[in-house]
Amino acid sequence: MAGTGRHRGEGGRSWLGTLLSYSGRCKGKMALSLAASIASVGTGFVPFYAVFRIVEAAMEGRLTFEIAAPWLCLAAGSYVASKALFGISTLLSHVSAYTILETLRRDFIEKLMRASLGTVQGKSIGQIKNVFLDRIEGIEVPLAHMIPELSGSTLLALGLAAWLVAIDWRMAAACLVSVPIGLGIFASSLKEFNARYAAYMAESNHVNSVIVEYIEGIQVVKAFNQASDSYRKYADAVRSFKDYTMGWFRSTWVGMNLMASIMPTTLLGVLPVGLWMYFAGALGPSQFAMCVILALAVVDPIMRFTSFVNEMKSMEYAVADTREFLDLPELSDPAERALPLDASIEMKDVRFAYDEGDDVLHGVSLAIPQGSFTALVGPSGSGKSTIARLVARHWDVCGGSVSVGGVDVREMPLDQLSELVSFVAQDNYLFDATIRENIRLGRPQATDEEVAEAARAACCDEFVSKLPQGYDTQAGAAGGALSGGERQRISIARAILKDAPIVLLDEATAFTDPENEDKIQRSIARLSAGKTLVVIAHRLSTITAADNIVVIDKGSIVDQGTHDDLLAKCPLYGRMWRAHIGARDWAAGSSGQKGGSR
Amino acid sequence: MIKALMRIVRWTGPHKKRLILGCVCSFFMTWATAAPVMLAAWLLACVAEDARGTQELDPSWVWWSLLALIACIGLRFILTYGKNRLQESIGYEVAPEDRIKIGNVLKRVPLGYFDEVKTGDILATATTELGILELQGMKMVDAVINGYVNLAAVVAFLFILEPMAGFAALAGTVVSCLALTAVNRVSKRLTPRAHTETEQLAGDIVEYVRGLGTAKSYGHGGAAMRPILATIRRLKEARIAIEFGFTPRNLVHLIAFKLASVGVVASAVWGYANGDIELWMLLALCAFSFTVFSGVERVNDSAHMLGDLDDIMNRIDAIENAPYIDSDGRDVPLTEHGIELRGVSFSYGRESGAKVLSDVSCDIPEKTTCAIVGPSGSGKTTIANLMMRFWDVDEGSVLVGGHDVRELTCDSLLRNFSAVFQNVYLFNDTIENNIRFGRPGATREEVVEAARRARVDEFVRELPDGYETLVGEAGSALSGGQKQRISIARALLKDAPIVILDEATASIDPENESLIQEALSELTRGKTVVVIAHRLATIEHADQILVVEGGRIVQRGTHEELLGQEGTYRRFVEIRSRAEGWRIGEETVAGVSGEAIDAS
Repeated sequence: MAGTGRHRGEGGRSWLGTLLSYSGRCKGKMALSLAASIASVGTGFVPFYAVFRIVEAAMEGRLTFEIAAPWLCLAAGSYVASKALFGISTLLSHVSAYTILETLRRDFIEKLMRASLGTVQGKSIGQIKNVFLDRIEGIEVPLAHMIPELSGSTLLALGLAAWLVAIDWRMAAACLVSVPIGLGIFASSLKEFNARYAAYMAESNHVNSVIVEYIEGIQVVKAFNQASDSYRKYADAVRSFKDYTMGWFRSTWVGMNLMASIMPTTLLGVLPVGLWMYFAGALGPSQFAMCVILALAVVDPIMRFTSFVNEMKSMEYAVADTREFLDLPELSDPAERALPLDASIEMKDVRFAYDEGDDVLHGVSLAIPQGSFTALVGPSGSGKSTIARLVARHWDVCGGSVSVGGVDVREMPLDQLSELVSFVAQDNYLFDATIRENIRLGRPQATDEEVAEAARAACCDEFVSKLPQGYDTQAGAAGGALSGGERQRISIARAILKDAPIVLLDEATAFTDPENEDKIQRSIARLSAGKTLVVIAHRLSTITAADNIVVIDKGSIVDQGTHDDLLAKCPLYGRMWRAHIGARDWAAGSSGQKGGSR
Repeated sequence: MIKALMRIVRWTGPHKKRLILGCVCSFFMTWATAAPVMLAAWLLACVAEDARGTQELDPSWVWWSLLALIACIGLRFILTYGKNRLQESIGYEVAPEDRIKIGNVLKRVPLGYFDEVKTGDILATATTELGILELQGMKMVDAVINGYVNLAAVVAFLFILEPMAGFAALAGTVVSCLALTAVNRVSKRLTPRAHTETEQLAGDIVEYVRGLGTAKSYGHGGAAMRPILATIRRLKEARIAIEFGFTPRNLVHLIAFKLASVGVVASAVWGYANGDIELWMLLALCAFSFTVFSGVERVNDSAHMLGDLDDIMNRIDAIENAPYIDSDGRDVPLTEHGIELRGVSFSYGRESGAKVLSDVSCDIPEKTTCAIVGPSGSGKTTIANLMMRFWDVDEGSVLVGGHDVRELTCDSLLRNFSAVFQNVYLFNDTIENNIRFGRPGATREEVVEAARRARVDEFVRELPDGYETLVGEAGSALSGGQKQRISIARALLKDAPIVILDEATASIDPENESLIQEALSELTRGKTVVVIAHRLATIEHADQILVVEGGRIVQRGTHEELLGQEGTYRRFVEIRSRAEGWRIGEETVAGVSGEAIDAS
């Protein structure tokens, strides 16, 4: 399968190498776990030997309970020791595995912080959550079992095989004859395993996304009274997934079961060959007995080994999914603070594309003087938001440069840039802390009085005072009591408190209720007073007073000037303006049409 | 553990017979597996006799033994195959039925259900958790039931051969069961914490990603990371605590069986020394001692898993037993399409008790437009939702076409409604199919006609794949306004006599805005329209306006009538007209007049 090859190839490191590279803090524990596992396997050999001595005595006709007793005690003692060591190994290995998981998750979190914001926000939260939580968690069990069980089983099998070879190499070969036969069958059914597994994952993702869609869209499903129809799509996806899995199963049943029947029957070779060698005089009775015992002992480790194939595969996939995030490129972050001259912005011939896509900005050059009010307008998808987000360095440009106060943003520490620029976006995120703390985020050292001042300026005072706990009310995910407009005002208060010289404002597109909107607008006016203001405008009537309106279409600047200039010279702007004015005068079932229908 | 197992068995429903047959196969398989060992033991005994010269062994046994072994493998293959065929796939056959059942339940529960139960939880149950049950359920049955069935067979066999060996095996089993019970107890005590931390982490990561932009722009990366890093560490600690709780008890379980196997050998030696059993039996018991318990040794993993499965089955049951909203509804065709609310009171969730609507009455005659205005949170959307019976009223009644909505099935009620929501939801499908969702039987021409009227056609033509373009996550190239128009086309195609409009204004650039308004005019023509209005123009032309505040209708009438009264409406209109004419950079004007309003 191509995908696997790619995952393996990337960075030249295998999935296992990736995992082990996270074992830094627990290398010692892992080594101890391995040592305990080896010791456990070593003591695990003793009972075989003890029972062999008993069998030998019996076959030679001299067995009494007194002869057997010490060997029985030895077997019992070594069993206990072996299992205790196994327990230690398992425990250490689990601790290591959970430590590796913790490190993986830490790196994941830090990577999200250091990667460019645009890239992270381009991924769906569902996907991030799935990888961060479920996929990484899924690594634990196989990883933890790898040392004590997989390595233990391998060692045990090898040790037993060596023992057999020491008795007679022909017997060793005879004992293991069922393994290649079984493996051969296993391998033939495994031939398509990679492709099948990938297809299985794809099917499984598909059915999950259909279920997600069905549940998330249930309101629409119900309102359109199409419950049965959309339900059919859901049911079809569920059934086709079932058919796929069942089909896969069916195709492997014969092979898997044949293997499961042949591989553990190690006696297949040992018994006839042993007899033959006995008759030929090459093998004594007690040696023969030992071979039979070893042949039985080797079964369990071999079978455990094969059951690991599936688990390894799932680990490999989980690591590949995780690396998609861990390998995200980071933004450069110079340590030395830069010395910007003022709060102006300049873009020089900026080109930008998302990932490997086509350019969304083709050579944009733009000068925004300190203290000016600039509006970016254009149809949706024109690139106006991208321009503003490049200033805040949500991504790095692909060509050209963005400078703030004459300094290229890439040559400025990220912290310094964030001090200079406030980005007031549409989705106003409030942390799960009190309203006061959410506002204080703008300037952590601000006093309560300053926080209250900012809150007043952003018209938060009046609704906060109505809340039972006032500024100590929890906001964030739990604080569903706040309306969209109120949340937005809190985020504006935060920006007011921060008092950065450059304000980038993604104008809210939704009409909230009018009272809210009026207050939002007033608070924005206070936020932007005396600042370099850049507005991503959705409603043209709000920006007619801008010093410079930049009209953007299809990733290029079409024209710029004041409102009146543009009305006179820019046809696109004129069209947008008329559409906007027209929309404002529209009515649901507007009079003429309604008259006709009555 | 037994309870969970029995539940899994019940869960397999009509496949139970196959499950039992599978266990029977498994039982015989044990014998097919044991046969080669017994053969080997017998042959070894013969070899011993032969070596001592007491009884000669025929060399043809080289070939006979090979044949016998091949026969055993064949038998074993048939039985394993039979067992897996019968058992292993049951999970994959039952789980889809459950998923379908859940889907069926979800379309018939009140929407309020989704407020009480988190969508994420339902999703997790329908996907991940059912997936675990599907994958592990039968494995557990196989491991535990077959494991113990085989163990019972072995113990019985040992009793026949040498009673003391049987006792040793039984004693080991009892100790192991006690240890497993202890594992279960520890699991019940310790896993909830890990569960809680996992849920916390799920919440944390979502919060972290959502807040990432804000955290970065305020230079507080470190602070934003702190809570989630702490949760990561606590989850690790909780998990490790579980391992520390499990491991010693697991060891008791493992060691019990190992000592039992030594006990089996000891009893065999004792029996042989006393002349109770023959040499071959001694050899057989010695050989068996290594493998006899290997099946049940691994049951400890299952003990742990069975607890999880039990929990998962609880959640599935909870969803499947959710009450249907329309279980006593009838299928009534409506001939008239007016809407009436009579003394309606409503609150979301019984515990919180905060009334969202109190004593709301209104009459919306057929083919008139009713605008609902009011501050956010006043109950506007709730009124619309009650008309579509997404919830049931607490008091009073909602009548559509003269029928109480509770008399109707959801299907027969909603047949009469088209709705355009503020949050556009499109399916991850082609544009054509998304529109056709309004009326599944519609022809291509009808879809295109609806698209044309909703101003969708014009932008679809410019897309390389036209109506085959995928929307949703993959095709997010569509703007919010374009998606909104698709949702209007969908409603147009449905052509229902009642239109509910949560005035759709999100994510719109100016050019889109006027097109959407045109599309909406098409949709509302000649219909009974209920619109949650934000815009003056919409309101001015409505036949009646309901002003909602704090869950009550505080004013009603036409635009002109209401403007003539002192009250909420007039204030609303004043602010609204200023908001629509607002400009950035003219703070003084906005500020001063704003202050005036506050003072009033």
